[in-house]
Amino acid sequence: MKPGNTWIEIKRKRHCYAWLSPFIILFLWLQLYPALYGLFISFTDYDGLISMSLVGFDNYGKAFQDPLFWKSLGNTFLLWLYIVPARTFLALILAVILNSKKLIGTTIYRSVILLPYITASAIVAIVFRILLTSDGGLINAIIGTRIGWLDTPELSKVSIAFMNIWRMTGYFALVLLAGMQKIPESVHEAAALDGCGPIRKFFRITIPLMSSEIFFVSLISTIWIFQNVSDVMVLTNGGPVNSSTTLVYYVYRNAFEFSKMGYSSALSYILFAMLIVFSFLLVKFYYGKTEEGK
Amino acid sequence: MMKSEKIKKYCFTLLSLLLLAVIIVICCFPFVLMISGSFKEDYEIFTLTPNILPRSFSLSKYQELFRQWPFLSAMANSVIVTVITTLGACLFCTMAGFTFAKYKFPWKNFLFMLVLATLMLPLETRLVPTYLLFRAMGGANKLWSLILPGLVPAFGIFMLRSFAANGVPTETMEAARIEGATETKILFRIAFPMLTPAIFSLAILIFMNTWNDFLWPIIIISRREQLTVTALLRSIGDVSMNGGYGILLAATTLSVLPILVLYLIFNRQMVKGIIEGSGKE
Repeated sequence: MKPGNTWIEIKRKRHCYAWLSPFIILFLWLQLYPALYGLFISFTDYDGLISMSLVGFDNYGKAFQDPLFWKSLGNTFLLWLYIVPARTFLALILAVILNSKKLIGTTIYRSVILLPYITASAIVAIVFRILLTSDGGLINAIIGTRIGWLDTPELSKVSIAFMNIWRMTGYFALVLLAGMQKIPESVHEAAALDGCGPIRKFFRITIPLMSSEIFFVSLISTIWIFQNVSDVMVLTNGGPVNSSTTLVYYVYRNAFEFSKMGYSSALSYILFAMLIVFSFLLVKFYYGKTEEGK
Repeated sequence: MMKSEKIKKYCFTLLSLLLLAVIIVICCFPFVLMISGSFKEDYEIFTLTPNILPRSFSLSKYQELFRQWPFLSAMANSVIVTVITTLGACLFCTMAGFTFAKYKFPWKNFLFMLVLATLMLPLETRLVPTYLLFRAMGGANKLWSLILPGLVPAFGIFMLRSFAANGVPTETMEAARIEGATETKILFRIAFPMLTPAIFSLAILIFMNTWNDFLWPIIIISRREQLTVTALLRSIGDVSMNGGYGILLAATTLSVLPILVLYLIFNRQMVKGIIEGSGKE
């Protein structure tokens, strides 16, 4: 196509650009510009007020020598380890149960199962904080113990994982269920004819056929765990002794509690660099997919 | 033969009812506790033998909440922010999604890549520059700072694009064009009415997300009077964590109420929308 033709085509289709303009403007203004500006700030020692001077790669260098950075990174990975495998497995089991044709009351199940998900994570965290308090918290009252779920370093991450699994399993179960319902009936029939038991069927048929959905759920989980601030902020405040400070919470604290805007920006770029692999996979396999056909 | 099958059927019914009960208890238990706790006196919230129903039923925690905190203005703020964001996002996402689904134009793929790129630039990875930008624009403690960033969510564009691809027949658009309709008329007179169910699903999702949003409000808003409900909860929590749980439970109960009511009324659409909104097509 000649450049002149392109121009005519653009003029002819100008309504398309007009309709996309809110998106384009907000993207440039509130996404792209801050992202670039953040990169610039990460090379300065900006304190959020006056002083700002270029410090080169100092902030990045500092991060790699900062024990708290490593600790928060480690905490994030541990949280991932506590949450994602267990939650994905639980959600898969739940989806299998909900997929059963003989089950009654599936609409009620679905509605109830999503209740934790539709509730603000801040509210969930507040309620769990009250439930898990060591002195008189209901969980301790029920088990008859005085365990410091939130104030012992060994347990703070477990508590966050527990709450997170409670909040999100239902949602992921329904996402998996939607995929499971696409498995053709004939596959199940063939399995039944071959005398395949339910457990064998689960591992040999359901899991392999669902691998795309399971991958999607794990991917989204991973990205969300790396991004999640509110769970940590409300439930444990990152404590005790930073035992539950995650990387993104450390980014937040550096910026808004310690006024280290430069350092915080550098940390968030490190976070971004780690996330980009996952978000790229997500976009490539799931969001970008349909566009290729057109 | 008949009998054993009947027994089997009964067993299964019983089992699924039992399972239903277990799932309901696990999922609802914190809510029940929250709501009943908000009607209790302090001494009753923490006991070793908790009651589900409050013995000392009282509204005193709600009265204290409204006396000590600007809860009503927080409610109003949340409503303003959520409603405007929802309306704007539905309009803009439909426009963009419809365009991507139904038109061919130069740089379409590049522009669509930008939509994909927004998925890779979550707020959490650009907290500082976004905060500095809004502060420089005079957006600190302003409600419009809470509205602006949520006006064109990428997932909404995806949702509407995938619906518009099959939901608005190209033939209908062609027919309208032959009758002399402008593209704007096609958008507002054909696309919007035909996409109403999808737009409605999106509206509920955006309403929920905006209402529940927490991180951005607490960053850009520091004056209590301008906070949204969900963000105000954190301030209430910080003060009330050493004993004043009653107020906190009253506040959480009230702030979750609008979403719960929506969920009760539009249950089917919401469940469907949440799953569709997950991006898996």
